[in-house]
Amino acid sequence: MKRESISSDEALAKLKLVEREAVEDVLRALLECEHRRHEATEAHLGALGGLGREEGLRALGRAKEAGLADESAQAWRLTDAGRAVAVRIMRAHRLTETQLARTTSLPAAEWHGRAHQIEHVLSDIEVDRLADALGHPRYDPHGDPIPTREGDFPAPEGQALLSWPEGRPGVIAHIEDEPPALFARLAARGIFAGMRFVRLASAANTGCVLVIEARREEMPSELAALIRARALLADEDEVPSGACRLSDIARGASAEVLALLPGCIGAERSRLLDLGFVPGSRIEHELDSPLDGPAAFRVRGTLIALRRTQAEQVLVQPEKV
Amino acid sequence: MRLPVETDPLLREARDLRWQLPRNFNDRLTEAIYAESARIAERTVTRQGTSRRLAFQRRVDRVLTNPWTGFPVMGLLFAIVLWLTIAGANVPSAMIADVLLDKIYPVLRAAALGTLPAWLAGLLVDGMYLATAWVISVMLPPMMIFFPAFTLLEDLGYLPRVAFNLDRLFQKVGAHGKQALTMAMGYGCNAAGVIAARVIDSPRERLIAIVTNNFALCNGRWPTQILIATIFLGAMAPASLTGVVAAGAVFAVALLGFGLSLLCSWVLSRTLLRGEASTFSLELPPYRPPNVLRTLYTSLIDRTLFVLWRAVVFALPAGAVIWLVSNLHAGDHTLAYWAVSGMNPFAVLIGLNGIILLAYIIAIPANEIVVPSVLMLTVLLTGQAGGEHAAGVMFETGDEGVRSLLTGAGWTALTGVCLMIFSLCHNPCSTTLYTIYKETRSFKWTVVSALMPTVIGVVLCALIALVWRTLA
Repeated sequence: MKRESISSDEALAKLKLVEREAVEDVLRALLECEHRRHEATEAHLGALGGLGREEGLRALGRAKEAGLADESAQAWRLTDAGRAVAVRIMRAHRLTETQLARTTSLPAAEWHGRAHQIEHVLSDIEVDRLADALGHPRYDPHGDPIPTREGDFPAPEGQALLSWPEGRPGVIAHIEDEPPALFARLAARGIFAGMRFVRLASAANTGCVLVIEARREEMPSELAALIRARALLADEDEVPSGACRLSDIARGASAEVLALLPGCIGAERSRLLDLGFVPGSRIEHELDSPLDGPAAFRVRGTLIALRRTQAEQVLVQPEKV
Repeated sequence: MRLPVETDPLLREARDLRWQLPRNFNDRLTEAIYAESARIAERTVTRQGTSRRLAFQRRVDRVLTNPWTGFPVMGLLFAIVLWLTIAGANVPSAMIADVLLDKIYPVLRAAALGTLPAWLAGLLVDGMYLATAWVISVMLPPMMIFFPAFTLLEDLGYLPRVAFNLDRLFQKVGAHGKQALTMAMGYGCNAAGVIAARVIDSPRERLIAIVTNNFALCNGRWPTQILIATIFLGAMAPASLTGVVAAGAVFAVALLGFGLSLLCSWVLSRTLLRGEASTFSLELPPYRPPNVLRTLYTSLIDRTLFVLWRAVVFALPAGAVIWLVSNLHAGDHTLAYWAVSGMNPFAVLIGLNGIILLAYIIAIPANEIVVPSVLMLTVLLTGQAGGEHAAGVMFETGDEGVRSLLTGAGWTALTGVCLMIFSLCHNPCSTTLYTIYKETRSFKWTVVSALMPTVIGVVLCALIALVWRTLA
């Protein structure tokens, strides 16, 4: 197997950069089909890889020549060597997205596009260094597992949100980042993978109504279709009743922190934790700035100003007056 | 895929367990540390009742950040600092000028002429000494009032409240609320403001803060603003209101600078520096009674003397340059004459004159010497000096003297207004540019920082001149 992977790497290396990128994209698309147990037809692959039908076919042909993919009865599948390439690309992609989310102020909708460019140019060593620098994260900001250096990662979990039963609590397991415009709408509403929700009853065919981390969200079908959901794990609790977001606390009222939500990531998350926004801390909403700008909260004796979108990512339990 | 099968059972187990850890175990670690430290603190720390002071601070905060009172208080405090500076600087400024220019200068000049060749005496005394004396008398008094006043506000804990109040504006233009802090620093010195931008984490927003910092009028430009506002705009009002009108005019220019920095941030975050506003977490420290003596001492030593020393260092060679361009001849005229008359048509178009532009070129190392350069060149080129003074000599003292000198050279209120605008919007001084290069490590952003305000300044001045001349 080792020899085969070297020869296919060589075959890949011989291709022009654009061609190699197309082959890598189509291999990654194949890997996704494999995971979702979709039939990998050519049209489907082209669309998933972001390539046109013609270009997708050409890339599949090249992958077959290089011994990276096989075709039988109209369905394509990965060879072991092809899977190795696809996993490597997936690892580079998800690590890059994690890095962008944690260390830059790029809007969430731009992570995917950037990562898509970078994934093809990173060498194995650079990818490993990236993983080291990030502390070997297990999940990317979309909630997808990041393959380890050995290519190990669990199968994707969960089911489509649209088929989730009403009244049952769950967790957003994955948010698809394509098409970017729709993903950007979810990100702008502060909805990220890892948030807990309960689906409420709603009229048929109007998308769904959710309570996501104590906030009611009406979600049209096109947005709900991006989301996969899973059941709560054994060590995850439901959102307690009466909880709300820190941004919903009236001025002068106090609350106890329950959790920092997944939308608060990277340096900002560490900073808020450092400042004392940890479960159990008592917080008082003390000041509002003019023009509906940031609000100031007293935490552990200091007064900290946060913008509204940040305060929205803190789940609290208001104190009874 | 280098290790397809893990052979070590321990590593294999670790690999399997990896995916079974709770997703937020990093947070749980931090939480456990906090819970433990809270427990330790509870057992060991005793607190004295400070509730009365806390309640008072809360009331103060309510007033200072209230939508109706927050902004007026901010503007008022700023205007008071300006007015104190303008009103308080006049008398000591005249006193210093009296000593350095009326008493020491003639003695030095006589001594130099007696012992040195005439050209060297002119270069040293009429050029270098006079330029330096002018810089000290124009700059030292306002700095001695402005810097301590600003440091007091800083020590009180008021400046973070300003950032808090203004954050929404900065967020709307895609910038960071702490840009208010870097601007406040820029009101002292733009190079310091550029360095202060390090407090902003996001590289994009830090660049915006650096590039737009020049719109915060620095200490080298306050004296220009104050002097020109006093002699051209203040003089149009009744004598009792001169200070108020002048302070109002300077305040308006400072406000324009604030508006321009918002506008440029907005344009930048939609063009060259595209992106969304990131996050903002700012500690609002408790108000502390400032230690007045220490404040006076540090702002005198750290800021006033530092900036003054810098000005003097740049004034000495600039004085020499001014004297040289005023006395070296090319053909029938001096170098200064050729430069000024070459730039004059363009300069008049934008409401200024050739002398001002030449002064700005000479003053690239330090904004502080713009007004002294303008005065020296004016004396030389308009030949108002009368017989007894040599070419290129600055001699006028006091506001009235400066006013009559400049109006004699054809200045109008339009020239004054355009000079104030141009002083706000032109390239940063060479120290600031060098600091920008050091902070950004980018030639491109240094050039942008120099060109953007200059282009805006030329356009604004041209528009003002056009409208003014159409109406007049």
